[in-house]
Amino acid sequence: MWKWKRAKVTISAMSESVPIELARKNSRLLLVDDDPEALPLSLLKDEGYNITQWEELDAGKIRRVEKGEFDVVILDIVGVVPKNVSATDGFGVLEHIKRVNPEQVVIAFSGETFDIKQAGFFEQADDRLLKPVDLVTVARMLDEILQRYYNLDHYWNAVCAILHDQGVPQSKIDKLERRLTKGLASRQQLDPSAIISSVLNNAETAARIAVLIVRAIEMYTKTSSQP
Amino acid sequence: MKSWLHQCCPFPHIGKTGEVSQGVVIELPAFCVKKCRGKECSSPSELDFETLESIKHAICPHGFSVYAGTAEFTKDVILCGLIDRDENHSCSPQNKKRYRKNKTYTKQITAWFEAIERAQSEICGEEDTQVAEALLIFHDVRSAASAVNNNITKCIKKKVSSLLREDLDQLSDKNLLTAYRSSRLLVSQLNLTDIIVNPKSAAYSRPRMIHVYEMFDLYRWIFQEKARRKGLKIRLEGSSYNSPSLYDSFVFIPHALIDNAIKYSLEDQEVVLTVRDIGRSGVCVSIRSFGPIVSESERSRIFSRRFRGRNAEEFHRSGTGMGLWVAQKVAGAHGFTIQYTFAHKTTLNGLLSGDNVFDFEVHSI
Repeated sequence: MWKWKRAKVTISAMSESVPIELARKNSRLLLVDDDPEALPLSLLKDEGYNITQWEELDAGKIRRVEKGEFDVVILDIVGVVPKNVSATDGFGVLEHIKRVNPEQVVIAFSGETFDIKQAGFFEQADDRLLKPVDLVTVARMLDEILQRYYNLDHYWNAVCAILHDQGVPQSKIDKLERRLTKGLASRQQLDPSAIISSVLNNAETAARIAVLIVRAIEMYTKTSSQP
Repeated sequence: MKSWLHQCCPFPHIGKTGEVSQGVVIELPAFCVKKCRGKECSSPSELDFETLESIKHAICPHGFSVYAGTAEFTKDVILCGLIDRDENHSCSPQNKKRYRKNKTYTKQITAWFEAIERAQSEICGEEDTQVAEALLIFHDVRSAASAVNNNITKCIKKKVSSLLREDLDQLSDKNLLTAYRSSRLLVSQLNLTDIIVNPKSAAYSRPRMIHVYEMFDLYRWIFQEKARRKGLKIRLEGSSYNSPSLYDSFVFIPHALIDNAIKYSLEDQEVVLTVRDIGRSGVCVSIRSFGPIVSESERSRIFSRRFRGRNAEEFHRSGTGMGLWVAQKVAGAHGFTIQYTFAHKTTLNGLLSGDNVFDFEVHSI
């Protein structure tokens, strides 16, 4: 006897390419560079990008990055950290961010590519922006970066990677996915911490995942075309 | 000034100008100096070489061993007037006895070539470090270039609705348009210099979909002013829809090849760029220009670092011999090579000229 089965709704199926205007407006980009002319900031803002510039990082600002406040961090290698804070400058910051918040997308933005000793900076970053760069080129590159990272799939893949790392069984991950898809589809208020606590005990990792889920929900709510 | 080979090579060898020279440790056999008329060792193409490990060995008509090896950044090095203990069975017993000091082992020669390669690599590493230090000053140049580009772009944005080329070409202020083109060229040129010192930086970005046809069209547009000053036209032919996945550094290929074509074109000629699709994702590109051609003997080195052909030097005094090298390095990072061919050879003003064609096929990484 055949039985009708409800089709499984996955995050992947719900993930859709975000229109670039919405991605520019709703994503949060951070530029860390001591040179105010490094990017044509005012022109990029005119083009609709939601971009903030910090000329230097301090402990408080680094904590904000650790907490996943920004979708994409564009990081220079020289002059972004006071010498009394770190001798390794941008490279040290990148290593720190990737250790504390590995899911944070960091784009290497430095003209020091000629320095072979700094190769690790470009290798550890998720991508690289040419420097100097003109408006047309940077807009093309940023759009491509947003299309790659500013979507539901990217956040969910990052969550899955953490859960797999923690040895969470697939059945629990599927359960989490079901709760999320249901919440997203019905536009219910979701409590990420409560959802995660049902599959993971480790508070520190749960907090990392919660940040990703919050970002994913926010992104979906603001950009989804689905009613 | 004596060449490095003359000053440090322990073995007899063929010098820079093709003459047979003494080694620092082992002297040339008296036979080679006084009796040999053919000097076949100085024309290695006439000898029948066999490959031994990383070097080649041949025996000259008088029974002496000739070795050929390549050390990076130099031409082939030819060692001569030696007798290989294992491989040379043609040398007469009298010569073997008379020139016993010239007896060598293949391993000994191979080790010397390896040592030279290591030394060269260290020297180049040191040189690169010094260049990198010198390039630190570029930090300020880059900032200045960014500022110039940003400000010109702001001026342009006040006058046109978008930075699309059809809108830019409508701009009445042609000086502003020229300044914009120049600033984009400056920005591209500064980024290209990084590849010279650190070719690995060609693969630093994540691969992106790049519309190759549009990229060539953009650089055709950027170089228009430079071409116009020489009375050149740059024409883009073909049609292409494919956007293979490539590194950002790919842009240095149209930059370097179009720049090269303009530099080495005769005046009032045409540079023709052709971009066509291959299958669903590949693109085939050719850049044709009319100017001094590269002679047959120099063709294998045209993409070498700092190499400039004799014809090219005569035609255009300035030039660093880096553009084509950069283009080939970037091509290498993408897994393809740029080929050079020429056609319709003719002599103009004492220079061998013709159609110079650079072509390549590119697919997603």
